[in-house]
Amino acid sequence: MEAFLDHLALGFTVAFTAQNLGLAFIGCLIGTLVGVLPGIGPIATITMLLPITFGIEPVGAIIMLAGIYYGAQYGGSTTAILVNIPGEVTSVVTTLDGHQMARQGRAGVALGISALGSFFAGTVGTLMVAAVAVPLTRLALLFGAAEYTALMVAGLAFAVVLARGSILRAVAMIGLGVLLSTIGTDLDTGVERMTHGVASLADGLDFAVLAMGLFGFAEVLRNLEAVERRDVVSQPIGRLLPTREDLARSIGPVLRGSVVGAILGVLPGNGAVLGPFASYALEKRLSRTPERFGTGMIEGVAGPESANNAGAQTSFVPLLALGIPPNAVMALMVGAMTIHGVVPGPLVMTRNPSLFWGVIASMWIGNLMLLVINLPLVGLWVRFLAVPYRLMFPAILLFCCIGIYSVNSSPGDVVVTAGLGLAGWAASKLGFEGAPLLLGFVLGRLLEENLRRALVLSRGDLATFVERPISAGLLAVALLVVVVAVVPAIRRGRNEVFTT
Amino acid sequence: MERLIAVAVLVAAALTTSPALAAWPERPITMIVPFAAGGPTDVVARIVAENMSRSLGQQVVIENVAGAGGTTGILRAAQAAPDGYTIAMGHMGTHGAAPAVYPDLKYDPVKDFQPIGLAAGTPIVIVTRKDFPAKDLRALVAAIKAGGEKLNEAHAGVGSVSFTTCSLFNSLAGARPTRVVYRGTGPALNDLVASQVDYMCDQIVNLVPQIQAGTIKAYAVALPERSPALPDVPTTTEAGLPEFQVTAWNAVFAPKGTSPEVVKKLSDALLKALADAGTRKRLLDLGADLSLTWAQTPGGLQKLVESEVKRWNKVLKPAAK
Amino acid sequence: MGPGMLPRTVATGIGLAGLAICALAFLKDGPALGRWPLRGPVVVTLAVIGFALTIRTFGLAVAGPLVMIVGGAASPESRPRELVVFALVMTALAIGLFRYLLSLPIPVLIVPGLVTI
Repeated sequence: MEAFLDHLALGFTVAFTAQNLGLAFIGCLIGTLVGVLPGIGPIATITMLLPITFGIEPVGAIIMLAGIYYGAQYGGSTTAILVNIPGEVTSVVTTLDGHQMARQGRAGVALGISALGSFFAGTVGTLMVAAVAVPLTRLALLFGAAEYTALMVAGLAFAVVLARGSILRAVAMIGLGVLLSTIGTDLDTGVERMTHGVASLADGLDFAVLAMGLFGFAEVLRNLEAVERRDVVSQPIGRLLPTREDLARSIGPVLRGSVVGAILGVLPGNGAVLGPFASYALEKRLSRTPERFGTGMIEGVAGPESANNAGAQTSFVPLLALGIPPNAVMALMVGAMTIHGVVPGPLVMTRNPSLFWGVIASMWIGNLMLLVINLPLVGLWVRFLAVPYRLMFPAILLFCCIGIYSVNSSPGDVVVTAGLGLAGWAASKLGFEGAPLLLGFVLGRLLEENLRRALVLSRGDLATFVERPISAGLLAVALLVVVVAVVPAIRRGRNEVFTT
Repeated sequence: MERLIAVAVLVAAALTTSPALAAWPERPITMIVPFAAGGPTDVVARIVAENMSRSLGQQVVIENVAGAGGTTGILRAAQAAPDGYTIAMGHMGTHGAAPAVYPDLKYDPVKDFQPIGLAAGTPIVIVTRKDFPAKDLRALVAAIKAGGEKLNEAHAGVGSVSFTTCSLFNSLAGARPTRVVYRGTGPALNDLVASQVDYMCDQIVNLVPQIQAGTIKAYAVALPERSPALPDVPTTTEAGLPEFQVTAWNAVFAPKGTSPEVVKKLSDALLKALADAGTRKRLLDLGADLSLTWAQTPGGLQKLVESEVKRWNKVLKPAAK
Repeated sequence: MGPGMLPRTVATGIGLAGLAICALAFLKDGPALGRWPLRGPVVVTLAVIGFALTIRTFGLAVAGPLVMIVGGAASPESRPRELVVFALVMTALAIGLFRYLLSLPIPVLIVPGLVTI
């Protein structure tokens, strides 16, 4: 315990220098900005800002880049709530209830609770990184291909719970998402699958392309259809901050979301993406009114937003303690650290304690800064909703186009997104939702990769999934989740199940 | 509206001088890196580009165009106007192994480029899980050969550096392991640390911290002399597999047809960067290999590319599934 | 177990789900099919394709106003003059934001042989 406090003290001495505080603030500010802009994610931004950090000492540079990363997690929810575009994988769930709240004139409350929840979760996540980073790495090493496969199956089970209307349709959309994720060059054999010779599909669909097509463009098309659907603008702005009742309803979800997100974030196989989905499924399960989820329930915003931010903090564990990047942003962070002459690995903690603990301390400071940046911004963001839709949607089109183009500097991606927008619009007119598809897409790639790897390692023996205890446990959870979701629905009668 | 555009065009034209006669470079140069930011090639490109920017008097901007093992970005560079404003950082994969890995490759590494020069190589290390019993490289080769399909080799995807270099290693060792694919070196390394797989070959940059921490075991490094980053690890020559000589090299290319004056300026800037003490130190600190000086000129690089294409064709064609 | 294993399995599953949904449609009346007005989808798609075609050849200064003005015409409420001014202002803002603040490699304006920014 004493060593722990010493370490934290060291961390705060490093993080509290004027320069590092300034860098954390700049990072958080830029992160918020790119999080809000659809398409421009932390990856593109950190890439662009890398050269600027050349002149700064390593600790400061990493503090700033880390600020961009978790700042983007805060900012991403803003776009999800206000205009129903998930800027990041992790804010897909926020669109479900967050955007509905905005439609009811409660955008301010949704943004406020997401900032407060994120701050709390960030604190929990940071403490967890500081206290148990080392034992946590053992958890990371316990997860092999079979365990990840089981985890992804459990994730797909959560996706079924996510569904609002017909379960059958949701399952079909999840399947379609998985199918879309297999487009592109097969990792194992190098064979191109379902690309039809289109060069921009050779590496598969990009998440930003899919999300902006199905959510960004399709949402514009939906809104253009009927005047009465554009109720975002016609509603009074309403309260900016959550009421006491809102807070009371949110405490439980925030606590549970923080824990779920923090644990999943530790897994190096990009477990952090599951956090918000798992939290949403959990809240819906615990709620006395699960049928009202998707209509603007504050629990559906508070839980996932907390899980998302807790995961963002703990996903630094595999990087800092193990030297292994769990996702693309962290891989970039490795590059950044390498350029600065610090190669992340198991020894960073002992060889560069001031860097390790300084970065951790700065995470908490960064979260505090983000709260300070974001709460006053709520008023500003909400005011954007007063812009007439005839002007708002061309601006959304412009920002989406630039965002997609900038992902790979590829005009082909922009055309693909336009096509997906049409498809998404048609699907939603027929009662198919986009969120299960996006989840299927995100998990599908990880699922296939790990499934095939597990089978290669077991030489084709399916028993590997039940022989390994963690994998078996996760599969049992998945089964339970599906049964619990489907049985009451069937009991209610087929009329309600299979029609919206 | 029209008037506005006309005014904008005039203003913009006034701000930039006429390009026909002006001395190159008069605007920023784009260097295409065909991989995602943060990887070994990207890091080398950024360090070299920074110094080149200073001597060229214009910013060399890195544009990451990732995809299809780097061939997407390189194809774009091959098709760019040969005006010296688009260059690329190619590497062993895109300009050596690619023709053997991708049968319908849309560019020719030898004919479609004007080589500028080699930037830096990254040595390859052979590593195993930490509890692998073999005591040295000879024992490892024997164990791998005897183990056959029972052993698992991890690699980062068909066409990746770890895949191609380990294909060479396997063919030299006469090994036929089960090859397990990962999306990138990170996850592959994770499973090696966790002892889920047996061995892999990869660039030294990615491996040094784990080797030093003892979470994986290094058997040999493919270099003429021991690497300062890993003084205890023997070279492949010392360890008894001298045929395993391979580096993941990175080199600057311009599109075919770039004028000789521009090529000269680019080449001079690159050589100056590689001679600069600060730049050298940063590259060497990463474990980079700067010993192949003969390939740092346009002519030398041309020879390197020709020999590499031939070599990988021989190694990878029979190995292709 | 090859590259086609998972896609084929999943595709079969989706096909079956589709058949089930079709079959259920005959068993029970669902909500009435809505109208399918095409103005929005067609105009917006054309605008976005226009952006894709012009961004690398003419730059954002051309592609930006193009997507906003053509796309803006998708709404029956659009006011041409207001839209043009707004499009130019937003494009200028976007250029400042993306190219200069975030320094993304996006071409700003290209007039062949004359200007490249």
